[in-house]
Amino acid sequence: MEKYDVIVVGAGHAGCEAGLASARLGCRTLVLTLNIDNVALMPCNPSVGGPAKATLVREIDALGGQMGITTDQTYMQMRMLNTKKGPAVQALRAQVDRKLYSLQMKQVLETEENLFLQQGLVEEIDPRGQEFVVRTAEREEYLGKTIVVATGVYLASRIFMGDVTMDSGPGSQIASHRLPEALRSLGVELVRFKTGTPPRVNGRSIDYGKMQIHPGHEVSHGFSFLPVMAERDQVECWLTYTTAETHEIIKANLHRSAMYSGAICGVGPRYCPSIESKIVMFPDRAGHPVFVEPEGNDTTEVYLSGLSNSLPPVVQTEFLRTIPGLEQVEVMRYGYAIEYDCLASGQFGSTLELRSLPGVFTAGQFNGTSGYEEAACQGLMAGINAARKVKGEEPVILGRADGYIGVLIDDLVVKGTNEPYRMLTGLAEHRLLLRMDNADERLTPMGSEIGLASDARTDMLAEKMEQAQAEIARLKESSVHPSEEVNAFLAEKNSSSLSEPMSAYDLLKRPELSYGDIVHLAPRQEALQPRVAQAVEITVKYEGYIAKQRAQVERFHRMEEKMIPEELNYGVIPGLSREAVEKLSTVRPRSMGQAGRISGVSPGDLSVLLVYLETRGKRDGGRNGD
Amino acid sequence: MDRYDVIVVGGGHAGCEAALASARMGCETLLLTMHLDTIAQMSCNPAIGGPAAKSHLVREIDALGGQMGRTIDRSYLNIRELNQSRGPAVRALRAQADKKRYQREMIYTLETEPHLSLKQALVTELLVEGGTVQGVRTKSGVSYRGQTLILTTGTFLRGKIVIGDIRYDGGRQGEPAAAELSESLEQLGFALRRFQTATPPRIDARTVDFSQLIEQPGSCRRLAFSYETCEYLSDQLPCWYTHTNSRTIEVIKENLHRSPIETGSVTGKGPRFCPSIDRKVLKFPDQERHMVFLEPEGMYTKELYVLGMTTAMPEDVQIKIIRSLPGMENAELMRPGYAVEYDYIDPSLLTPSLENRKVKGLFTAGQINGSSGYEEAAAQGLIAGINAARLCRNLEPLILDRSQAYIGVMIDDLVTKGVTEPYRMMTSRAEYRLMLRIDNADMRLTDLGRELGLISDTRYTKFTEKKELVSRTVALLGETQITPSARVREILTELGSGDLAKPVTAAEILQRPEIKYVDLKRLVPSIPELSEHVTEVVEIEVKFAAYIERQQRQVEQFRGLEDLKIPNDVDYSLVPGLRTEARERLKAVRPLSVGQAARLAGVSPADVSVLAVYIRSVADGGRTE
Repeated sequence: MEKYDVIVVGAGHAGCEAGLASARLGCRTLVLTLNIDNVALMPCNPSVGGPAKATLVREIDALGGQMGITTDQTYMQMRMLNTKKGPAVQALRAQVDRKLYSLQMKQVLETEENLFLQQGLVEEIDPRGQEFVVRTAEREEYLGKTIVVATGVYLASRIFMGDVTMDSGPGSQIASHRLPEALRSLGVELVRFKTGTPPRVNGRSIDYGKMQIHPGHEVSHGFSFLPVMAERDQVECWLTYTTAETHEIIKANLHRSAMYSGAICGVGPRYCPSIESKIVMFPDRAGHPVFVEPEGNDTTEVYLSGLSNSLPPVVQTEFLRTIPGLEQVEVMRYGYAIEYDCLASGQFGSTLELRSLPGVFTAGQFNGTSGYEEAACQGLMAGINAARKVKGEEPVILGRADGYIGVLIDDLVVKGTNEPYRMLTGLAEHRLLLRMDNADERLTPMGSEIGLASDARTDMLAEKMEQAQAEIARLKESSVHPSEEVNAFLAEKNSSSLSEPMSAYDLLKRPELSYGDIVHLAPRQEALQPRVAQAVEITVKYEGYIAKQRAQVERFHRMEEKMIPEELNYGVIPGLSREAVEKLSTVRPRSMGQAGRISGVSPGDLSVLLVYLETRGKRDGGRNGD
Repeated sequence: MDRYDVIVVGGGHAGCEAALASARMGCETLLLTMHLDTIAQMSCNPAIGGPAAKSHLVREIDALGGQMGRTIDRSYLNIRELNQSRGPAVRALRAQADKKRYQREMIYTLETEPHLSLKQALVTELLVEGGTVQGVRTKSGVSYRGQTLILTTGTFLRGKIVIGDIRYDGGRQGEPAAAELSESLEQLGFALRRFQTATPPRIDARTVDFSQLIEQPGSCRRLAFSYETCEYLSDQLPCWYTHTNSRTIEVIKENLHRSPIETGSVTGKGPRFCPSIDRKVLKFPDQERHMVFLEPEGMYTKELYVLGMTTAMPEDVQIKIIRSLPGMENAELMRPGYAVEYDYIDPSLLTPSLENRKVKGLFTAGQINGSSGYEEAAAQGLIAGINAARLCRNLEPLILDRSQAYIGVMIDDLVTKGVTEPYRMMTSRAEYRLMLRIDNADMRLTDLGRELGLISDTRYTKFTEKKELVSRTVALLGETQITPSARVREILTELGSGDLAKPVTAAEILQRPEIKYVDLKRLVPSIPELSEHVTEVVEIEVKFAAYIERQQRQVEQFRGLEDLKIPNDVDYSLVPGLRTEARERLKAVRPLSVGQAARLAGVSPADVSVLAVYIRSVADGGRTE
């Protein structure tokens, strides 16, 4: 039996990051996938990023993960979303060549030292002492010190299309039916979730003349902080809308939709609703947007974002042909809903390790999330922590103030989820600090300490910080003097005129003036790199808000740092409400901070717990002193 | 319900050619595949062409306007000539393919072909009414109407993956099988049979010590499969080879009891000419050295295909076998080898147009007909696609005979003799192989392709120019006299060729084995400058003129019986003098010609003469009436 430090089950977005992280940390790593041709497959939309998700990708990158780099190498279009809004919600979104992404990621895995990629359908994970035997359908056995389970939607999956159901993984792939049984027999509790995907059509059958063009943007850098973005001619996406006729057809056929006929028992993602749901939930909407996105550079296949559904194929064709530009459309793959087994909430802690099976880490859709980026970041953390466990090191846990990754995992651990969890900016309380542009400041030092972020990353960060600070100092020192020319410029920008000298720094605080405007008024010899300029602008403009949020984080940290022992018996704590005992025993929070976020745990319960821990601490301290 | 002229089920090598041919002939065509991402997948070795007439098939497909040659020319990693030192009939081309690139190229070609629709769907049922195909129904409950239907199901019909004593459902490892379609075929009265095939493990190139292997570079000549190609890859990736050794054989022998051959977990018959390594050891227990080739699977992958090591032994044994090989002591498997068992239909139920004799409008191509190999599949797919399209237009089917093409040989073998093991194309199966060369596939078939509507104007103009140039040059060489002048004799000596005593034609000089066309040009500067490709044809036509002529005469004899068509409604019980066995065989197969009848097992030469006499008299009677 071949022996490995870490065995990763699944090579989707979570599995790839997990495998790469643990291998890069020096662990002998095996990645098993049921079909090696589907490494890093994008079974739904051919894109990476978007609000909150883009920040996740930047965080993955800042820590030394892979997703950002591969996206920058395989994109077909880049767009910066929400440019009119504040920096906390600006988001990069890439349209990706789906097959190229998969091919490149596979190559990255194949060339990673310490990483072995193999095709095999995992059917059993058997604890053997402190280790685990992983058994495939081919009855090959592998011994792993730790395991990362990243099975996506492939556990006991079932596809729904109208009244037809098929036991199948996404799009005619095989699913694993034995692994869920094996996990249940180990005491792991599984639930059913579902997700859906829209139809894909042949682009040559589309009349783009009837659609709005949705071109790419010139962006100064992509997802990775490393300069890896490929230069290329961007492709176009298109926008059209459903019509009243579309809605009529869908309403008339709702009873044939798998989701409404009661065939599906899994819970679907709220923030990625099917077109049926949208029409039911918003009956007054005249049209729902449909984004028409190319799937690759050498295919004419096109993804219809916004039209996820589980109607019978005939109905799908019928309603598609009522949408402007799609009158003659040829469907290549029909949309469908898919139901799968994933973990019931509350079975893993902040390290993503299963409580009932220490040594088994879990990530991605198996943990109840939805989305490539959400999966990838969990994969990264699971891979890091699996590797650290092997090496006898303390786990790495990101807090809610460190990154969206921290928010996501904390939400899963503390609140659990009863529907596929999607990352949203609204879920982060410190979002002014958790920006896309500063993910490197927040996380690269940690990535470097872990041993994942390269020296190049650290050097680039140091250079950026140094240059930004120097520029801020320069702006503070440079005075802009009122002159006819200056005031004319300000008037042009709708900014009030100067009557006495003002520092460039203070001028930059004016919302209507950009850093570029300030440089015009207080010129510098050499232009700053865009990423540094952005850092300067945000730091200066939002200084007050950022300081306020930092203070909140301070307070937050005080509670986060009050640790609760894992084995604490809540039942013996006098004065805790029964509900609190129950919830705390299930979630097993790591800290007072986490405990406070559990619904059903009142401020009163918190103080009882705090007092108990402090007195217990003293007692233990005394005992240890003996 | 959507209506089509031609529906193709399956997007493998047969399905792609079938769909492209029928769409290019103007028929509204629908291609249904279980998975759009696996279209044109090379499930086994990452190569197209090679010896055993596979490259001839690709050239013939190309000459008829098919796709395989064009696609491989855009996606190979290296390309080589085989048997260059041997006779012209067995010369061959072989390209190492970038598997993924090949697929992407083919998918794009299909997606952009007018009249062709591509859809992902699992076909579960054939719709047949009154003995005629009506269409298909899919797993998701959709029916598609089609005037004709082409089944190209590969290894997916009730596919079973076998590794050691483990068996599970699957069309390829990691992919589901198609069970319902088999049931539907059985309900229509087809007795499905089982074949199996197998594939070797793929290993991680990083774990191979290439210094212990022998490198095999690509050719530096400008080679191509397609007559259309004019761009060539210069930076080619090499392959490597080595041999098995005593340790390999030992490991295999120690574990033979765990081989599916011994445990009986494989029941279908496998391809004789592509045996597993366990079978090779069983058959030749004393042979230690078997060739092993390592072939890259793509430009952007570390996966290597281990040619020669096909096996479905348990995975732990596979690792031991691989690690016994030089340079592979530390090799890691990426995918294990496995066998796959699948349903096929007895091809003797087909007419030579590849239409089923039981169900009108139903065509089959590729592994479902009991053949093996990408090229064999593609060639049948092309013919099925052409004939489905012609049936829609009420035109006579295209039937290539044994003297026209390897495609003709293959289809005649399949439908006349049936199969007892997966059929693989080999040069030895052709009687007229000096005519059926790889260099003259265009001369043999482009006119036909043009008539079918599959050859573009540009291509056809280029072809006619080449054809004219060849015949003009051959004629010119026959007329040009070379006299034994001092200069001529000097050059001949220099070329190491015999002296010249009396004037001869340039053709006669070229017939000397050591003389090449370029040499001849030194002797007769007035003969035209020729491209490499034209030179090759001219040299062969002149050098082997006598043999070719002899074969031409044999072909004419063959054509005599071949042209003696048997009417479709002939009642064999009325033919006097036929032996019972012959009568039964003839009734079962219903050959199209006396020539085809003569090739049936169980039909003796005496039966053939009786039949020929009867058919001639019936034909005469028909005319006088």
